[in-house]
Amino acid sequence: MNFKITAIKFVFAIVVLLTARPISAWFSNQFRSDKPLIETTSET
Amino acid sequence: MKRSHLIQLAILTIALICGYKFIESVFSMVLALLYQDTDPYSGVSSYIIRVLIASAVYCVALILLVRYNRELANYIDRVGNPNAAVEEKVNIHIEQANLLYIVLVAVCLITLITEVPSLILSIYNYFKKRDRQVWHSK
Repeated sequence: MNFKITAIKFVFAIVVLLTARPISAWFSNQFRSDKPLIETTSET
Repeated sequence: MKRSHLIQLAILTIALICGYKFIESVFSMVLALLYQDTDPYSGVSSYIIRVLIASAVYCVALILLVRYNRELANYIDRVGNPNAAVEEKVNIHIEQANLLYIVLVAVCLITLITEVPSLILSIYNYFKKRDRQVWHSK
C-alpha cells in the first residue's frame, strides 16, 4: 500500500515537472496582469 | 537591488524553511508523546530523541540565520566576487508565469527527493522478500 502511494506521488511529480511550463503559461493566461510581480532596477 | 541584498533574501528564505521544519518537528514530537502515553510499549522513545535532535538543529539554524543574515550575506558576496570595488547591482524582473513555473518545479523536486528513497527501499524490500521465498522453496 505504501509502495503504491509513493509510486503515485512519484509519477504525479514527474508528470507535473514535465508539464510545468504549459501549466504555468495556462494559469498566467487565466489571470493575466501586465505588472511584473517582482521588479528591481539597478537604481534601487 | 544589490547582490548582497539578494543573498540576504535567500538566507532569510532558508531561515523560514528551518522555522517551518522546526514547528513540524515539534508537532510530530507532541503526537509521538501522546501516542506513547496510550501505548507505553510502542518503543517510540528513540523516535522522540531523533525528532528532538532534529528540532534543536532546526531551531539553532533558524536563530543563527535570522541573527547573522547580513554578515553571512556580506561574507558570501565577498567570497563570490573578491575583486569588486563597488557593490554589484542586479536587475530582477519576474512575471506571474515565471514565478509559478519556479514554484511548480520546486514543489516537484521536493516531492521527488522525499519519495525516491522510499520508492527504492520498497522495491529493495519486495525483491528481498521474493528472493527469500524462492530460497525457502528450494
